[in-house]
Amino acid sequence: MIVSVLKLLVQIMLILIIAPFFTGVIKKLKSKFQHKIGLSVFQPYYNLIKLCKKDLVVSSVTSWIYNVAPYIYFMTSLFAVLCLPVVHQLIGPAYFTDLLVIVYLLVAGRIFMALAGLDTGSAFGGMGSSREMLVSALVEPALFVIIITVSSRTGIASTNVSSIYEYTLSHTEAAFSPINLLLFASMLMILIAESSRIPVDDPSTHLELTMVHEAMVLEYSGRHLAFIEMGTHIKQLVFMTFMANILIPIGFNIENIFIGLGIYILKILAITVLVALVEINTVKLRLYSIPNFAAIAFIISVLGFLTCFILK
Amino acid sequence: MTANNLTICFSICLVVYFIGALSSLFTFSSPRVSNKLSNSCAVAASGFLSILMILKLLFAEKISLSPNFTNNIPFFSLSFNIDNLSAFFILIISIVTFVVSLFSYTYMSHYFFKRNISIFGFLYNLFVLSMILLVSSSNLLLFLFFWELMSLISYFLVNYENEKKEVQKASRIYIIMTYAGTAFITAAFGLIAYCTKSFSFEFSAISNSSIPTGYANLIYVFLLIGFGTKAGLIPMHVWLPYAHPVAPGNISALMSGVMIKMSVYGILRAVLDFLPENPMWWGTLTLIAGVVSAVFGVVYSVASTINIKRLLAYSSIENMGLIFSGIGMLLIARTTDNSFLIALAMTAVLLHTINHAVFKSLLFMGAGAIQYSAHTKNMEKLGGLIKKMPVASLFIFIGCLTISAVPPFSGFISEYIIFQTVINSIIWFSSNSPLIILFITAAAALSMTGALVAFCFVKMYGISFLGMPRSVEAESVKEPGKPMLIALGISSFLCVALGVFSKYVIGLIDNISNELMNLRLLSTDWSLTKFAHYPVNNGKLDISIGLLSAFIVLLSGIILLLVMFIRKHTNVERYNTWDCGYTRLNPKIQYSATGFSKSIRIILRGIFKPNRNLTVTEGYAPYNIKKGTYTMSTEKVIEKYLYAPFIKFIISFSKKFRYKIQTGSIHIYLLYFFTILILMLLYYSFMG
Repeated sequence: MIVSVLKLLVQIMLILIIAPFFTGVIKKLKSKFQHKIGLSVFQPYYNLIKLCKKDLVVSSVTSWIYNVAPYIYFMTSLFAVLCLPVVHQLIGPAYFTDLLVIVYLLVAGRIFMALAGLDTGSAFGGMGSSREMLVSALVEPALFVIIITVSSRTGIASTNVSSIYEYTLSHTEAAFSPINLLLFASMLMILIAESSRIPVDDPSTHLELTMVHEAMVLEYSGRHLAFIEMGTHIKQLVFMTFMANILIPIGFNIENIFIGLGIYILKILAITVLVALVEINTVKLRLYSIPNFAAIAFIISVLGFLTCFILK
Repeated sequence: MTANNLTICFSICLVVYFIGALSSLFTFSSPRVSNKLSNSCAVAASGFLSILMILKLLFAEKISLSPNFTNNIPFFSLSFNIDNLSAFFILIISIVTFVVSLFSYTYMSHYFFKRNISIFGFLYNLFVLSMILLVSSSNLLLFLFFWELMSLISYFLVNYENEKKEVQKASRIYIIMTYAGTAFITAAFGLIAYCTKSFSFEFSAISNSSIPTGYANLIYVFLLIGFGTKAGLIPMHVWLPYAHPVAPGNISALMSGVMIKMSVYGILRAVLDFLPENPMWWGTLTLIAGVVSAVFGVVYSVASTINIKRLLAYSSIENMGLIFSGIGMLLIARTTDNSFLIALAMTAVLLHTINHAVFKSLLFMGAGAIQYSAHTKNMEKLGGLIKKMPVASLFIFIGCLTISAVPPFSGFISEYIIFQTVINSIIWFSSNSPLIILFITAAAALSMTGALVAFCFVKMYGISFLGMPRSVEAESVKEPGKPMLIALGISSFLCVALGVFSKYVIGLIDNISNELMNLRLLSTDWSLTKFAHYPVNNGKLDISIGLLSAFIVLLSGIILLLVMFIRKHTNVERYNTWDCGYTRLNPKIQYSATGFSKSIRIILRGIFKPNRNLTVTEGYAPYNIKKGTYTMSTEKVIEKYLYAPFIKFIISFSKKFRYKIQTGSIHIYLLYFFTILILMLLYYSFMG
């Protein structure tokens, strides 16, 4: 019991320390690709500290939902990544580490953020909430197909992370199998949609025509905003961890925890390079082209599923 | 307590309902007394009955409840038998009736001296009574009788505000659809009775006789159509979005929470008792019907509603779709001998049935509370209610989270088990490719449904409870009375409890599967490791949801400490929402319910065929707009392309043949008699 609590604590500390780093890396890479110097990779940390020190401006229209939403959003993201250990040695108690729990907790965080967007009574917030809920609903089928595939191929029909990790540990050679590659491609598209990146959303814009996530949190300031940003960093890491540990399990079964962690971070860095490349080479889609984007993700994931079950 | 005593207790509860009905009728001179009497009787009887039914489900082997009344009518016996399945449904009825009756104490007060309260109380109690007797009857004729009674009384209750045009239209559609459904059920029951080759309509006699496959297929299709009409499966759903919004709040809570669940009972009873073997296609048909209903229900509920109760009605269609897809998977699982899969599907069906009953009645009562205090059901006129009625808003918020399947509330656990059923079926049928493709499509559709439900309830809660009040009515809202709040509170507590303690509910459901099919989820011979990850108690590895919620609480505590640490040197300033420097913000600038769901309408324009009309009167210059009107409408595709042509055909057919068959001449009518007589004689001389 004490060991598993310790594991959870280690996991929490690790996540809190490394999550903003990868957002910084993506920004830096984008700048490099555009031949700019770019901000330091540690800029997200400076931003968080700055925001925590600042005073808050809270709209007088809002209710308690607005005030708790950032913390709930942060908590659900943190909980989700807790269920998904970064290295296999950190697998905690199997009682609730379930992929479906992760998905529905992320939904909970999103519900709170969308309600907070509506709570301010401004048109921006409502628009952002509506679009955010739409985008997440559109990519949900692809996400579920991926989850069903990885959990049903274990042979014991379990969505539990520890049994999926167990299966992955004994199948690390599957990293370049067609199933994993298809699922990886689909998951990359989901990652882009869920962490509000180009081509689905533009994280650096403040123009009402293109904003999705930013419009929803437009009214937030100070530590509220810090928690939301941290939540977004962590949420991005949830999807990246899923990809790194389950879909490309190269070196996942290494016994030494520090080498394992190093390999994990290298894999995440590789994924950030992919994300940055996608961001540089595409333009933001029209809102009503996002269904096509989601449909492609869905079809790729279904192909992965069919490869796993019918063409085996 | 012996079985006999229990039977007496059960009968006493029924009598109390009856007393409630009669006393309400006889105190017509004072609506207050009549309201109090009828609701007190209902509260007392249903509270007692739910405890009784829990006892019955817990100690299933020891207790038998079968009240029999002797009578002298040939071929018709008043025989009742309460097995575990009936007990489970009586439990659902009693829980929902308990909270809804509490709610009615205050809710009915806005009808005082405007409408006949005593008739309402009379019908209300009889309605509940008819449903209880429906699930306890062990005779086809009795079942049909109470089914009819339930439908008829609910028609009167829907038609309560009968001077309004929309109410008349809605209740007319309801009664037509419900009778169309009953016709199919009657036909199916007739076929069942025909196959048993006896005049005994007892359930036990039917389950002992075997029904030939051809007839069984026909019976099942009839039952699916008949019960599907009551459940609101698409395309038989048309009555639901009309009837629920116009019925009084407590009645829609009862109808959506309980009455439409009677179809689940009916189909389970028929399938498990009378038709013990089924081909695969029954299951796939039901699964497809369920999934289609789920998807279309939620899509309509998101995109085409501004009336809260209509939104909830469409959402009921969606949830019944989920339950029916569970039944589909149960039937598919039954073609194999995998008892684990059957038990899992059974658990999914019954767990979602009880959870939906609780949270949907909570949400309908919430809508009733809004209507009671704001006098409107239109979301575009609400807003900011969370500040005017904080307690009720909190309870309704819990309902919204539950229906969006947020852990650890009860909606999550049933959705979780439905997905587990899908995944297990995929593994079990992994060699059957078409079936796998069906399952993965179903899973994808159901997952999208889940996300859209969240969208839908963000819309409902965000528009009507948050932001600024959009009308004078919304500004003058006050917290509803204590009984209403208590009712909402109990329901939302149940939403949490049924989630956190779901393993006990699953235990109760296990007793049902054990009695009907001789299998259990808890002790199938699957190995522990395979079993360990399901949130069910197997004695070794315990349920996850309790620990999950404990961890959520722990993590919240840590975050709270963190915030306390961070907030030391900062101030909070209250200021207006940012208005882009434009002008003072007003409620009309807020996002509306129509606008919130516009993206869905545009993406699914093939289904909705949205139609908008913008007229602008310009002032002294272009862009100086004096007046503008915007109207938006969507098409009801199923009504327009399925029902309307059919109705048109019937009307034109009857118009054409009205004078050809019914000429008004008595000679022709005599000729009809004669022809029929000859035909019948011929039939019997050749066929009989």
